[in-house]
Amino acid sequence: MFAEYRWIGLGVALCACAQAETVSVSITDTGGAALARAVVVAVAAGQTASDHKQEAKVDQIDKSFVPGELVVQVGTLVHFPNSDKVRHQVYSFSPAKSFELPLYAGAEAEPVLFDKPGPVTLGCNIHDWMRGYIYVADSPWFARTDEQGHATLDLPPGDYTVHVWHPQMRETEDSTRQPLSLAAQGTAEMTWKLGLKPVFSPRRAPMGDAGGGY
Amino acid sequence: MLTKMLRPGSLRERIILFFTLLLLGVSAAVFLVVLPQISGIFRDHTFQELAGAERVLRRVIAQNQIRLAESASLLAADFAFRTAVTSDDQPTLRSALENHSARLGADVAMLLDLEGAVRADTLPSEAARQPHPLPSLIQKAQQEGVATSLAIMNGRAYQLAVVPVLAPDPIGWVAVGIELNDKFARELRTLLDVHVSFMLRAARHDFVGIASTQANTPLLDLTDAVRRSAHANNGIPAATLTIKDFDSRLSSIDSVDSESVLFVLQRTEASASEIFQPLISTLGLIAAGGLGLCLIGGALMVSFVTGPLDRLAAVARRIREGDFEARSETPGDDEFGEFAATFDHMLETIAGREKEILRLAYEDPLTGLPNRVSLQRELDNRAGAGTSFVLMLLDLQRFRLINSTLGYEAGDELLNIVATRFRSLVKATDFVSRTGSNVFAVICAMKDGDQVKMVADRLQDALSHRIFVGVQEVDVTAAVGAVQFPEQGSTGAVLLRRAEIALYHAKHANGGFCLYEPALDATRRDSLHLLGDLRRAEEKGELLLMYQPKVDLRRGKVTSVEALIRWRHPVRGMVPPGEFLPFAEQTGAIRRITRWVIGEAIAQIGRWEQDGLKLQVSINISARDLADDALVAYFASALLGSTRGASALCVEITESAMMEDSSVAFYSIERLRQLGIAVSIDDYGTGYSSLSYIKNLKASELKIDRAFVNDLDSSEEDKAIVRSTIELGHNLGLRVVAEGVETPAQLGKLCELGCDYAQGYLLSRPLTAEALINWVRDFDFSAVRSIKPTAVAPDGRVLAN
Repeated sequence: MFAEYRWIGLGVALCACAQAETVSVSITDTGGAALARAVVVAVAAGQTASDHKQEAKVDQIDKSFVPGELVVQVGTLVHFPNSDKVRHQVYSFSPAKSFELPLYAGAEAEPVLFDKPGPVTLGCNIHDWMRGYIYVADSPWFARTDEQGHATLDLPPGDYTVHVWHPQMRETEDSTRQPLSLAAQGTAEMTWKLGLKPVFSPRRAPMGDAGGGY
Repeated sequence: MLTKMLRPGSLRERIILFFTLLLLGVSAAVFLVVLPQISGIFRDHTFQELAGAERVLRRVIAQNQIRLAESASLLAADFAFRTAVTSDDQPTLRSALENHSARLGADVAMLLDLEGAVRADTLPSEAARQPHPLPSLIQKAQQEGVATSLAIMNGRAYQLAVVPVLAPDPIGWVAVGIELNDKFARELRTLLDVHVSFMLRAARHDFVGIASTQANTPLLDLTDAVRRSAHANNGIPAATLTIKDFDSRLSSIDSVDSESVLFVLQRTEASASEIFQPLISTLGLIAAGGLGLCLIGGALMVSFVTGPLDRLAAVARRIREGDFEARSETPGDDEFGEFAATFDHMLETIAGREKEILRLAYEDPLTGLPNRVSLQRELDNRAGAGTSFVLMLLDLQRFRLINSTLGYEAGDELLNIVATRFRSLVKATDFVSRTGSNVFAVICAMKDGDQVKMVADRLQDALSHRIFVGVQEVDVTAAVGAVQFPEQGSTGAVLLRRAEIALYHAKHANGGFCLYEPALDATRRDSLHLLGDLRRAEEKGELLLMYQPKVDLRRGKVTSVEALIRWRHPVRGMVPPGEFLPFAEQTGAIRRITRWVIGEAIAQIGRWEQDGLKLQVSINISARDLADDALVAYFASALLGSTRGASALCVEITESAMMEDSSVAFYSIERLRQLGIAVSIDDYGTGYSSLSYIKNLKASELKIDRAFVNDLDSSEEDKAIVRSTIELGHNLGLRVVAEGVETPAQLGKLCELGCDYAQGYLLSRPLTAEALINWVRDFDFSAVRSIKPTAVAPDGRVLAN
């Protein structure tokens, strides 16, 4: 389904310059199975939102969003280039960012500024099965769980509120918040058990229909 | 032909009627038996159709749901709709739902959030607060992406489809529904051609209609019937019901919440009979056509059958009218041909028999001569032709004697011989017939100058030649009565009657021949007239007895008298017995007369006795009297009151009377004798009585016939006869009486010959009873004997003294 994950390790790059402690995060579903691709965000106490003026890109390749899941910090400008030969109409009805990019090809579309935290679900009005997620984090510290449901946050010591998000998650984001006090040289391990909604996956049209043949 | 065909009760009519009734019966059987069966088949067929309609209905609903799901999916994916959905503005949401459900042709649309709470709907506002059955549908939709089902909301049934609103992850649920309402039912009716009704269970045994194509009344009937059926069947109505005019099929579709929607498919029975109508018409047409064919075919067949029958009937009619030459002449090997041949054969037999009957009717079977009927025809024919002829009736005398002495076979032989002789004597054109047992009739053509007497003589002569019957020679004579045409009669009947009159006279005249003359007819008529009077004569006291004395020649005294009957006719005066007694004998009146005579004679004997006169009275008894069984008994009873008894009576019997039927006569005479009555043989010498008769009769008296007495004094032969008779009588112990004594010479001779008694005018005429008394007192025999022979009248009366 989401065969390709192109991770952009912005957060790692940012943290390399300071002293950081490691927080191990483990997320499972209610059945105990490891939950991959969950987003973990740690918000430092007293931290205010800051405009990072960063840019990111979600390409559309072979009628899929690439990457399918992207975590950005609030204030990121995301480009939606279209690498397909067919046009796409990218939209979002998510409260964090509701937008619509009328049918376009190539790099015609203006970049979209994600200025509010929260998940944004991307869709294409032409191709129902196309789905992408952009999580807009209100903190520079975030991570994603791997296939084993593990993630690692390298945080400076201090007080944090950590919450998680997953596209299938039943719980609200707020209910997943956990306080974290991280002492210097200290480590922490955090776990979440999340209820999952079934994945809704509209059937992908056959390749011929999409004109993917050339 | 037509009137013949319609003749009531004719074979024709009955055959046609039979086939017509047969056909009607078969038609009725078809209508009565086959139609209900076909009706049953149609009924089954109706239910099968209803079952088919049910399948179609289920399919329609299923397809509706698919269509609805697709529609709902499209709706959920509509960008504008999704935009509206995310707007979170209630009026906008609602109007968007209304708009899009209208676009889909849905009756209801709802928007729910991911948790199943209603965010907006097109239902009436109060209805929206009702609990929805959707959670289970949403659950299903979550698993399968789409969920469709019947759902019941607010007492209404819907086909619902629930799909997620995807953006592209589900952000809520949208449900669209089509209500099972009248409109939907009507659409189904258009498709299925049956009535469709939907019902919901209102209570355990109660159902309420929610939609129907039926009008109110049948719908109420239906609801009632379903309730009753459910009540009777543990809450589950029967699958098939016949309600009023409708065949109904009941079934149900589960809704999402296990509550089911009942639907009823109905087809009118009337619609089945509409299908029937052409069949019935066709059957009727076939029956009518068959009836027509039956009439035509029946008429044809009938003519096959009745044609020969009619021909035979026509032949039979001709036969009835006497045409025996008619023949049916129906060829063919079939039953009719055979029947006709038999019929024709029968006809020939009948015709032969008819001919034989005719022959017998017109021919005397014994002699082969024509009979009396033929004679009458012949007479009429000849009288019609107008040429003159003579009719002669020939009566064979003494034929009865021959019959009785020699036997009937001899009589028959004699008749044949006589017939042959007569036939050979006359010309071939003349006519000979036998008209009675011993009577022949001959018709001879007469030419001018022919004498009737000569022809008669020739015929009489034919019998004078010796005739042998077997070895016995017989002597036969014939009396002939003749009548001439046209002089003495113009018609056959008159001629025949007159010939009979002439024959009668011929028989009573010694000559044996008589040619008719009008005087005879008058006498005859007279006699007949007298006969009529005679019947009343006795009652009116017109009859009387006169008495002629028999004188005892030895003693010169009178001891007996012969009673002689007289008729004192009020117009004609005294009628002599010869003029009425023969007819009285012929008609049988003689019996009563004889009885009167007996009574009167016995009474007179009594009266005389009172006057001091003792006389024996002789009474004449005829052959006919002797044949009367009751006569002897009458004598006996009449004598009961008599003081003198039977000895005072004597019966005189002629020889011929005894000859007629000798055995009966003998028997009667014997019984009379036993009573004590004396018997006298009258007219002795004229008949053929043998001596043995006389001996056997045990008579006491013999009366010599007057014919012998007449010429007694002149004829030596008569004298010899009288003498020998007297001697014979005396030798047999009989007293001998001579009658017809008219002259003293006769009387003298009789005395000389020893005759015992004499009777005759010389002595006395017949006298009345009173006159006799005086005569007896005054009688002087010696005076009588001294009377000289004087002139005597032809009738024997003494003219002088």
